[in-house]
Amino acid sequence: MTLANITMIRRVVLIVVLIILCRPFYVNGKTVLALKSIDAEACDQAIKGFMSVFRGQELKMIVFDNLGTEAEISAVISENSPDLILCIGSNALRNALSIKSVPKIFCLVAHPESIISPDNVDIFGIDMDLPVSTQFRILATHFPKLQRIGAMYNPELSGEYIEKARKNAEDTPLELVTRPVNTIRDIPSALNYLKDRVDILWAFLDATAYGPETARYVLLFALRKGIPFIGFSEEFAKAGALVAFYGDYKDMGCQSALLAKKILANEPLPKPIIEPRKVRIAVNKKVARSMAISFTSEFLAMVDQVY
Amino acid sequence: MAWISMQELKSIAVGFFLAICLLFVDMAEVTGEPLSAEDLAFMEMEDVFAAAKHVQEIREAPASVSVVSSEDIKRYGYRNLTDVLNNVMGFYTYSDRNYDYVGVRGFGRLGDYGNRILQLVDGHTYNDNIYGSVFLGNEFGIDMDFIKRIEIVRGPGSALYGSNALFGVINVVTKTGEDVDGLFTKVEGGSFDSYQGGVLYGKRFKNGLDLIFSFSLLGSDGQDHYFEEFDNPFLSDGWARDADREKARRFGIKAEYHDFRFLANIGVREKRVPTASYETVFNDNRFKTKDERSFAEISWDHSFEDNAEMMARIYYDRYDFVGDYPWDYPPVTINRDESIGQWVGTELKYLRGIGASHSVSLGGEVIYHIDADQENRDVEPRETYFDDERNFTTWSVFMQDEWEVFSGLRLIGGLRYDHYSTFGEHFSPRVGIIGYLTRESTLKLLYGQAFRSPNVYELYYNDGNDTSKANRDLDPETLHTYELLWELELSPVVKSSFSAFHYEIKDLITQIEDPGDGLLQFQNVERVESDGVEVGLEADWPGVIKGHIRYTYQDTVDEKKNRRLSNSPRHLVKSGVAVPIFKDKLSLGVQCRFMDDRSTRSDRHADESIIADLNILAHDMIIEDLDISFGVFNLFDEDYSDPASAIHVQDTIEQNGRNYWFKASYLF
Repeated sequence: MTLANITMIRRVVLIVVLIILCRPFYVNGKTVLALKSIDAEACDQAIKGFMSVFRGQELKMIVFDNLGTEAEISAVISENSPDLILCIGSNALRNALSIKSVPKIFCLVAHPESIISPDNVDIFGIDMDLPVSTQFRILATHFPKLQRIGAMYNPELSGEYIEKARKNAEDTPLELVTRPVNTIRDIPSALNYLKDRVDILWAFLDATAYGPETARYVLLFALRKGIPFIGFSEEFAKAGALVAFYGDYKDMGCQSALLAKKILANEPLPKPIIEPRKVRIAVNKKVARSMAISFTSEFLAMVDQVY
Repeated sequence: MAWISMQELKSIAVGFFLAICLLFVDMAEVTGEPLSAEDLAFMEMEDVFAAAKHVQEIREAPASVSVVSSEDIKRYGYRNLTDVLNNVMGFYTYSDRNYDYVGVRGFGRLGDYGNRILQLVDGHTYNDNIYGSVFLGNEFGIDMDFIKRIEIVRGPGSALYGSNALFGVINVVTKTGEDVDGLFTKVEGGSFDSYQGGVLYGKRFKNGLDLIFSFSLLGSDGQDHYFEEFDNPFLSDGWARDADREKARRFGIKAEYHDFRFLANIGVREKRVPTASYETVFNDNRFKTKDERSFAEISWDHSFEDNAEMMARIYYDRYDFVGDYPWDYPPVTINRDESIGQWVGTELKYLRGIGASHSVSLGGEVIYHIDADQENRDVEPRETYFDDERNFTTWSVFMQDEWEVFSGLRLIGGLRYDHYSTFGEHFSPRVGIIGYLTRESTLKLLYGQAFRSPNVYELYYNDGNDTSKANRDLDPETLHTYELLWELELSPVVKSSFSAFHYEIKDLITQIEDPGDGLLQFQNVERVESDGVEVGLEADWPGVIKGHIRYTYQDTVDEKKNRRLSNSPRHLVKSGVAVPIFKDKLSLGVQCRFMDDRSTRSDRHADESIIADLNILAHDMIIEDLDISFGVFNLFDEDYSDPASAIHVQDTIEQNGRNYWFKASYLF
């Protein structure tokens, strides 16, 4: 056997090993059907993030804005024969639940545990709710004087989330003071209860407590009472929240793409719902100044957006 | 005479019944379409920090303040400032079917053009320099959809603003381009063959430029009016036909770039006058007035890092008035009043925090009145009776200190010096003690002095000594006010306020007949005193309910005659409620106001009245961004009149019965 032949055999073996190693992460010629139920820039960012993971590979992405009926979705599926469905937003996920033949990935879905059941074995995705542990850890570390966290929540919408938050608070010096609100009419009395019992008001994705009609009012109330407010979007920080924790939507797209790769490669997945791995932070310096709160340089180094 | 008649009792009962029914609207339906949680993450929010700062400023202001938002304007269907002020505590309006006038805290001088109130547009003085008029009706050059909010301050404001701010300040704050964010279009129409159309375009560009402009047109055929004073066969049996037409146009532009702002506005209105005032020929529709008010200003407003703010502005203002009066000399001849006011000014304000407890404001303003010209002549054959061309200068400086003595107690002291080349000088001081009893309770003790300078019309106008003569020796009117104000937040959505006030006006400028020659002349002759209380209860819960009940008692006495001042109601009650009736798509706003009887200039009475207005607003119901509203004003068709001024033959003038207004607007 000549040296050249040995070299050639080594190269072939190396390539075969590499192919075997990379097999779970290599897809080609696949079709992904994306169903959107959110009309926001974040949705485009998520798709961009998804596609960035498949860069250089042959992946056909067909994007549909919120499809109405099961029949419409079935028609699109039979026409395009997708290998995977990417659901962006909770309504898109709900619409796709009945499709049994195609595996599904979701992202930008808040409270997904309330939508999918244990029977839905072919659905995996990224939770839009930010990890409470991360938020509380940041608050406890950088705002040590603000220990009593107040939160309003609708037990029906966010009961599980608030339980999770309560457990997380136990691992920190923070005390979580909560008040249930079943309808928006309960909010005034809840605020009245919380105002003298908390150092900070914490908001999260709960449509009753922080819906479009009430969010402005609750924030205005907090500002008037001099209670720092923690919001869940950049808009909150811009409007007057001291700090806002919000998702990195492009990265959520990346995370869901990694799940998609595993599914397309028939790799097993450990759990259906995965927490987002990145948390973005926005702050409002005018609010901080008016409340005589100073940000540490370590905290500011973590901040993505300053208003 | 009974204090209240059965008819009015019935109306009150109906009003309260309606209000109670509204309170019991099924609130389960009011929360609107359930939003997905992720929609919340992307919902847009307006600047709440600025709003909170504004609310805080109101709490800290040494005055009683009301704010009417653009949402209030929409939900109650307000068509002009008159509609707004009718529902503000302590204010009442009256009309002579040419202009709308405003009274406050029991003082509503007949025919004074509202010149004891200071009117501002984005902080720019809007009263003219001839009559000092406030513009309330369709002559006001700002379209209602251009308004972001209206701040109404009761009490003397001369220590900050100078002349005219005797009883209060009305500041109309206009929208920014960001507030509109698109092309807003509207069509409106209603009773008396009235119509209005307009566009509003606003945008905030990425480079920081915020631009908005507004244009609107309106017209009305008006009504045929019957006046019993003219009921004889030679005077069309008392009917003034086709003598109530009105048309107006308005244009406004505002551009903001970083700290700089350019603001310009023009409003033109022509109105036929059906009342045959000034002894003109009855039922001659050539009797008309035209008002044209315009201004432009450039301002710079900067906040420094070291707790200091500075504002500077320069401006140009103009006011033109033309009044055509058909007089039967004989023959019937059109006599014309023509006034031109032009003025330029500059203003500088500086505010600085000193240490932790002091905040000092300093400022000054110089105004050069290029023209304050008045002319009276016959049009054809031309004969001039009065031609007065005049210019004058005013300048002023002011200072205010706010001192936080300790947490929970603030003292405010202010002093302004005004110098007029026409009459001389005036000092206006004010003092306020503000105690924050709890986080929810504020007590204010206020004293203020205010003045109104005699305007050029009062100083110099005469019609060739035919009916009136000038008085160049007029002094300013002065007013002293003492007020105790208690504001209490009963819950996060319910607030209450209680105010007790006493004021005295000295040297009140009044037009009287000189017994020597029988000519009318303005003189400093009257003295007025008033005691009153104001009690208010307000509820504001977004998406659920907005409501109010406001009561004012005022005992305003003409000291010279030792009797209640004319056109001064003792009791004012105002209530209103706005609730969603179908999700967040359809809402109902109902308001009801009671005004006590008022004495007229001939010691008779304009009866008490109860007026209810109703407005239904459909928002995004048929098409997204399409709003449709339908309003019924004077719902119970109350028959009521306002006292008339001395220029009228009538003692009272009947006001509109039930009338309707429809509006559709779409945002592109």
